[in-house]
Order: sequence, then structure tokens, then C-alpha cells
Amino acid sequence: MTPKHFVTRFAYGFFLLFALAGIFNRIVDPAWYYRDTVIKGFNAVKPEFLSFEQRVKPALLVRDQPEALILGSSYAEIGFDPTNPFFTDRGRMKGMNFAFARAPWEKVQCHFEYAVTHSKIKRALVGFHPGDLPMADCEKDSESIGDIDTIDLLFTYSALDFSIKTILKQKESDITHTPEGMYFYYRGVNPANYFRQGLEARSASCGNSKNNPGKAQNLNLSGLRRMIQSAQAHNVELVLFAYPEHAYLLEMDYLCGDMEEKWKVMQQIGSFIDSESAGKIPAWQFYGYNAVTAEPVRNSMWYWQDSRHFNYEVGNMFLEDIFAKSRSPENNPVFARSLNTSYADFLNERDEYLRFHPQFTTNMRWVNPKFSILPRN
Amino acid sequence: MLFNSYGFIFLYLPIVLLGFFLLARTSHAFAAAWLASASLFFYGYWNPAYVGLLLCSIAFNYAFGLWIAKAGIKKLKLRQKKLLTLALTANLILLGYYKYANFFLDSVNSMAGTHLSWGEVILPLGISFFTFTQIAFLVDTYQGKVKEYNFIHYTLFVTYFPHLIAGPVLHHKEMMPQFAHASTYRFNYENMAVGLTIFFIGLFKKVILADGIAKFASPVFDSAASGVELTLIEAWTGALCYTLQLYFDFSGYSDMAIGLSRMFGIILPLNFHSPYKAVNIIEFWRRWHMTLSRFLRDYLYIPLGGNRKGEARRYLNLILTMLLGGLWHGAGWTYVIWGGLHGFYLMVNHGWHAARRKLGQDPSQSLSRPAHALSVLLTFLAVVTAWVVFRANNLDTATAMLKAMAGMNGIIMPHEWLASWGNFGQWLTRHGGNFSANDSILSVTGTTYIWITISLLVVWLAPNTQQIMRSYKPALNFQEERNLWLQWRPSRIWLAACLICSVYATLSITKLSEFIYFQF
Repeated sequence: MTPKHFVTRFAYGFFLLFALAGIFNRIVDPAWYYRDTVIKGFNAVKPEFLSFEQRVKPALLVRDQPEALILGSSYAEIGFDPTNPFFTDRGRMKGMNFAFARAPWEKVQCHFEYAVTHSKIKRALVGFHPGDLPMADCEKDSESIGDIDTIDLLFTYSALDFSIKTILKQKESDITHTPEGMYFYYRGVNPANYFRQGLEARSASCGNSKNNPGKAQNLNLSGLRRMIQSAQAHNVELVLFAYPEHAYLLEMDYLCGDMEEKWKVMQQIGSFIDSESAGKIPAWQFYGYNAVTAEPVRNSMWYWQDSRHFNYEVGNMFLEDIFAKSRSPENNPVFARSLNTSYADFLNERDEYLRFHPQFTTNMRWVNPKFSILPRN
Repeated sequence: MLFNSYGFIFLYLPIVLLGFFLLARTSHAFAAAWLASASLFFYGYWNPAYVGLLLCSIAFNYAFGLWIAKAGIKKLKLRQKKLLTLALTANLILLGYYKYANFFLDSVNSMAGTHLSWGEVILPLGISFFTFTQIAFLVDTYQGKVKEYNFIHYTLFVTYFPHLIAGPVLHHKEMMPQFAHASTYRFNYENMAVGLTIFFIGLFKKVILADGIAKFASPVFDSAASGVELTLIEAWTGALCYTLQLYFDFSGYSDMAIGLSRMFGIILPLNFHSPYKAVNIIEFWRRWHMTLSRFLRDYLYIPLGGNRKGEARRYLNLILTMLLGGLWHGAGWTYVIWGGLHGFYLMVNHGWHAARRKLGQDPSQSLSRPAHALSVLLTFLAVVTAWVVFRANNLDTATAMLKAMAGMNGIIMPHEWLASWGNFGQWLTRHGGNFSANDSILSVTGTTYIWITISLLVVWLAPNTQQIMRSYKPALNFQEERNLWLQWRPSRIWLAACLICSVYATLSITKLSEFIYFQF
């Protein structure tokens, strides 16, 4: 072979192999960004999407321009189906689940800012934990949000690796995400064990600073204020909700002596939202004792993944409460209640439930024998 | 712009190559000017503000070079000396201001408790390289060694993008004749084939090997810096990983520079020649950053008197040269100590050779295989120890690392090993083996040790790029007599191997990863 042949063949081969890698990644589309080639058994399931969602979801938001968004952490990402007819006004709005696993409040706030400035959203359902909701420095904390690099998706070895894994995992993997961004999580994998761990973890954090008495008076809600102002400025219907918890976790709050303070924090946030929005922004919580929130813990459960992550069937009921029943004069919400609900009423409800459902206590003892609960006298 | 970026590989390089050879058909001067302009663009891509500084430095040194030469022709020796002194002083002031002013003030502040400050000074990229290149030019002009004063060629000699940021430190007598030679301006398939192959071997070393092992080195040094007490194994793992990272990073860069230059028909001097195969420190410095060693020898060690003024003075000169060589790498005490440590190693090495000569032995005689292997290992360990000081952010971190490497924190194994070793782990525990109760700062999955083992095998047993390419004169000053088993030639097998390596390496460019030597 002459040097001339070497150089020309090298140049052709290099660009050809490079182009082939790009075409292959484009077709397999492990990041689920292009979405134009779906071949069952080849690339229909996207088991590697989780590695890309931080980058791809914002890009999809800009491209698809959804009108109704769900924002928050994994609780919201797993728990709410953005195609729910009550949430989308019977399909009149295009919905998207724009929540991200492990997103703290600051990130959620930045995601909201990004959404209102990059999409024509009309409705946003935002989840939060009762506590401080401080202002985020979105320029610094989330400067890379929305950065999607075509080279990264098509012409990198990691993309090639993800493409190959996507093809190889077609048979063994279930769908992990819906096209609209909801995450299915590990449905059906021994939730009792997760409950056990969840209760242990809650027990270990009894009386920590987060739940200190007097917290309600010193809340930092500057980030929440900013979110309300942004929603008003962009004419977005903002609906806020405190993440629900399984009733066993509420019992742990009670055992730890933190419940009343938590309730005060929630009321404080409720009053703040009312005063900032002149009562125009609804805020909900789903704490309570009922067939859904107190679903018996078993090795296979219908409503809960663990003590905090709920399935979208629960989310559907909550969405119906928020967007249909609460707005209809003939109906009342079943699960949703205002953040300002009285603590005494809540305790009465708890006592009544425990009195008439002794299996609740038995089941909790089965989950973890250390925790023994009784209704108040 | 980095050599290991898509912008460089797919846009900058093809455009510059095409422009160079097209313009060369019209005029060699245009082609040289194009290459110099492209090099300035390459430099300005980081920080356009410093292009002005670079151009001023070139104009200043070129003008002084001409004046010194003219004074030399007129036999005005005193005037020549004054001009040289003035030019050297200006160069050193420039380098001192940008690179050492804050270091000097910080040192004064810490000793005197003062709060003096110059404000923030951003180090212009490659300032050490272009300053040293031009100092050599001025000194050689003074000594009457410079023959060509073409301004475009001079600008190209200083700014030539394959070497501008991180070397090799070029010498005008090697480069100017090549810029003047007509064959440089004719496209040559052999040069292109050789250049492409060397460039992509370098890219592979940088992207796959250096960046691959870097992720194991940084956590160890960062932990030591934050006060974590490292175990013996963690510290040695970190030190070895950094030693190998630096090796592949610099070796990769040097290959890429040589390969790029070869595409333009210009052969660069050899800068890196399997330094960890050295049997002693003297040989190490003949293999590591060879052009810097040459510069320090020719323009510092020899003017200081070299070995011409007795043994004691020779050792003093060695120490001084290495201390300044350390300081050249960076404005920090860790670099000075690293230089001093190597100066000490060189003194011991020269002393050992002198002692052997007194005993009637010839130190240059080749060693038996076991003695050779032992010498390589000993030299390698000395170099690793010095790299720890070089890499550490400060002296405290360096001390913490060295203490841990010396086993002063106890010989504790990561607790993950206890589980993964099963019964053997239990047996070790019963017989006094200590396992840490905490998670290791390294992921002890075996990956780290596979990386280290493979890298060491490559470093010690594989032929280097120049040896593989030896039939095609890959670099100036390179001579290899041995007939090695691995020889590059334009063939189908080599084409396939080059294609696989180049595509794999190029696809693996996922993030901006600067070469370590860019900071010097």
C-alpha cells in the first residue's frame, strides 16, 4: 500500500465510521430525544433514558411546547400522569411531567423558571416538602439546564455504548418512562422492605432540626414568593401541593412528637401563599387516614412504592380532587385538603380511623415491631 | 482550542492544512504567513487579549535580535552585550510579572505578615514556552549562531501552533531551515500518513489512557488536601495513578504536536522518549521533556559553569538548574521542592557514578537484566515520590501523601476487600490484617488496579511511538538502532488499527480536558 492509498482510505474510513456511529445512535436514540424511529424489539424500550433525562427533558419542553406541567422531585415524577384528563382539561392542554429524581426545592424552582421562559405553559402543578423554600440562584445552580449537545447524543463513545445497551436490554427491560416524562420506577419490587427502611430512617431523624419546634415562625419562603410572582407575571395557573406520605410515616411524625410543628409549618406556608396571591393560588396537602394513604403494607402493593413514592393511580385520584371535584359545587375532594386545615380535625380523623381499623396497628407492627402506636384516649 | 476537541479535528485542522498547501502553490511566504496567522488564531481562541502580548513579545525580540546581529557584524561587542542584557531583562520581567509576581508577594506576605498585592494576574498561556524560545534566539544571535532573520519565519517559529502552548521548546536552528525549505510547502502523502498516525496515537494516549486513569488520581489528592488521613494503599494508588496520568498526558500531547507538525511537512524535535524506562535519574532527564532539559543545560547549566569548575561547583550548578527548572513549571513552593528533589537525585546519581569510576567500574556499561529491572524500578519510585510533591496543591498535602505512602498512617486495607476476599479476608483479620471501617475514597472494584497494571505494562514493555514509526524519521534527534517487532508501514493491518484507534479515541472526546502541561 502506498502512503497515498493509506491517507485516502484512512480519511474515507474515518469519516465513514464516524458517520455510521452517528446514524446508528440517531436510529437507536437511547436518549429518546429524536423519537422518529421506533422498532419493537430493537429500540422501542429506552432503559437508558434515566441517564439522559436531565438534559433531554428541558430540550423536549422547548421542542414540544407543553401547556400543562408537573414539577417536583421523584415523588411527582413517579406519581403524576401528565396525560390525566382532569389535569389537561380533557386533553385540551398538552401535558408533560417535568419533574426530576432527587431534585431539591431549589432545582424545582429553577425548572419552573426555565419552563415559564421557554414554553407557553398555562398550568403548573408543583410539589414541595413542608419546610424552608428558599430562593435559588438559577443562573449559578442550573446554568446547564437545557444544554443539549447533538455531538454528545450522536458522536460519542458513551452514546454508542448506550445505544448498544438499549438494543441488548430490549427483551429484559420494561418501559421505564412514558413519552410525556412520567417515570414508572420499580413497580412491585418488595415495597415492605422499603417501608421498613423508611420508618427506620424517620425514626433515626426524630427531633432533628428540620422539625424543631418554632420552625414555623422562621421559615424562609423567598423562593416560593419568586415562583408565585413568576407564575403571575407569565399568566400561569400555579397549583401547589405538599408531597403526600403514607399514614405510617405520619404515625412516625406523631411518635417523634414532630407532627404538630409540621402542621404549623404547613399552615404557615398556606397563609403565605394566600397572602402572596390574594387567595388565587390553591395549595393542597393529602395527609390523612383512608384506604389509599393507609394501604396495608405487603410484599406487593397497589398504591405505594415505599412510604413516600405513590403510584400514578393515586396521583390520578389526587388530580381529580384538585382539578375537578374541588371546582365543582356538587362534589367535595376526597383526599385533598387545604394547607390551612385545622390540626385538631386531623387528629380526630386519625383517632377515629385507628379505632375502627385495628389491623392498621397490627400491620405497622409487622412492618417494624419497634413501633407501637395507639389512638389518643 | 484543544487538540482533543471536535472543533480542532474537524474544522480548524482541515482548514489550516488546506489553506497552507493551496497558498503554497502561489507563494511560500503567503503559506508561511497563513500558518502564522492560523497559529495566532489558535492562541487567541482562549483569550484574544493576550494575542497582543504575544505579538509585542515577538516584535520586541525580533528587533533586538536584529540589533544584536548588526552590532555583531560591526564588532561592537559591548553594545551587543548591553542589548542582550536589556532584551533578556525585559523578557524575564515579563515572565516574572505574569508568572511569579503574586508568588513572590504571597511568600513575602506569609513571612512578614503583610498584605501586599498586585491584584489578579491571569497567566497568559504558553508564556514560559514562547519566552524561553526567544531567549534562546537572542543568546544564539549574540553568539553569532543565527543565520536567518526572515520576520514571517521568525513569527511562525515562535507561534507555530503544534508547539506554542506546551512545547516542545523549539530551537531556531532546527526550525528556520525547515520553514525556508521548498519541500515543506509541497503536499506529501508520506508526511500526511505518518503525521495522521502519530497524531491519533497521541490522541488515544490522552483521551483513553490519561483521562481514563485521571479519575482515580484526583480523589486521592483532593482527600489528602481536605485533611482525610489516607491509608498506605490509597496513597500509593493515587500517586501511581497521577504518575501514569502525567505520563500519558504529556506523551500524548508530544505525539500530537509531532504528528500535527509532520502533516505540514515539518519535523519537530523529540521531546518524550519512554522516560519511565530510564535506569537512573540522569537518563530520566534525557528522556522526559527533552527539549526543556536541553534548554536548561545549554542556557543555564553550562553558562553557570557546568562541570568545568570542579565537583562541588558542578553539584551546586545542578541543584540551581533543577530548582529553577522546578520554578519554571509553576510559581509555587511545591514546584521548587520538586526541582530541588530532582537536583538532589542527580547529585546522588553523579556521585554514585564518580564512586564507581573510582572503583574502576564503567557506569555507562550495560547492566544485567535483574540489575537493569531493579534500576528502572528504583528510578521509577524516586520519580513517583517527586511527582507527589509536584501534584500536591501545597506542602501540607504533599507531606500528608508522603506520610501515608511511607505507612505512617498504618497499613490498613479498604474494608470492601474484606468482603470481596471472602475466607482469605477473614483469615487475614484473624492474623492481624487491618481493614478500614469506612468506605474507601476509591472505588475498589479492581478497575483501578487493572488500569494501573495495563498502564505500567505499556509504559515498561511497549515500544514508544517514535520506535514504532522509526522507519519514517518521526522526530529530530531520534535514533533507534534496534529492530523492533512493531513497525509501522502503510499497510492494511496498520490502516485498520489506526482507524479503530482514531475513531474510538475521537468518539471518546466527551468533555474538555486540558493537557496538564498547559498550566506551565
